[in-house]
Amino acid sequence: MMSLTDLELLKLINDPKTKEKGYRHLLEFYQKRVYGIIRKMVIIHEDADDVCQNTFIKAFKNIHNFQGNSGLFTWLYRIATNESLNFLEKKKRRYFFPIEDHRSAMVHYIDHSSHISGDDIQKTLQKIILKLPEKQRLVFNLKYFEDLSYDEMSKITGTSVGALKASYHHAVKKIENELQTG
Amino acid sequence: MKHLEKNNILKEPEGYFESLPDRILQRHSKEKIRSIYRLSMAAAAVVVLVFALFVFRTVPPEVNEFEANLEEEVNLYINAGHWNAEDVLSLSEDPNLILDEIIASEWGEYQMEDGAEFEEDLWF
Repeated sequence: MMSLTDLELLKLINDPKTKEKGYRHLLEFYQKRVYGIIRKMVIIHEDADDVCQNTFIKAFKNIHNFQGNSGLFTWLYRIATNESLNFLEKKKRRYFFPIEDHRSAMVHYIDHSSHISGDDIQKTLQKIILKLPEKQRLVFNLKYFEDLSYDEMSKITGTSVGALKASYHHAVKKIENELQTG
Repeated sequence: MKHLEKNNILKEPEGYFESLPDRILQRHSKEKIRSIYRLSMAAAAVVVLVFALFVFRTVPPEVNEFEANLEEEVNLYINAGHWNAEDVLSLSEDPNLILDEIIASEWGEYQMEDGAEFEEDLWF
């Protein structure tokens, strides 16, 4: 199941003498992909930075529980998606009218931040994706942007392949409708 | 949607990924130190608590021993006829108080028994 790189990384991490080196290699190897999936969920860079740090800290604390049934990346993705969803849930609770206020903060960020590139159509697509419920947004991002297989997505989200297919199908329909009407 | 390009429009600040591993490793070691500190504080608290329980819950054995020996010795003197009631009373700082307590307890019992009999007399 695991690639040789994962085995090498785990070997380094499990040896007290090379633990720090192992952590550094793991970070350098996976940071971009982990940050990428978190950023697509939380949109704002500063939030993504926080969630990304929490993800790796949590991974380091629990790496001795990693059983190798899936790839290290799938395991890291699982932590990252959980942390992202928890973060969004906490953000919601801080507002009196929760969902709309945080969504509008993310939409505002897409329109005005210097950490966003792309043309108007791509920005519009991002804003339409933000209208999806969070778990459906996660499914859409994993499939559309990350190009993961349904099996991998199932391991990450703990949801059946059938439910994921249905969720993605509905998400695409909603986005296409919005693009046509908008 | 098929006609849209799959570009990632979400960009990170320049040099972000060069500093991220250092920042995470620093935070990790700080948290490790903090958790070790918390653990050692908890261990110290447990030690203090156990020590306090040990000190406050056990009566010094020498005090018990001394009291037992003293009582035994006094009994020996009385049984052997070396001491009589006056001698024992004279050992006390306030013999009158002891006598008052003895009388009060004797009379108390007597009055209660007497009162109960008196009430029975009234009823029959």
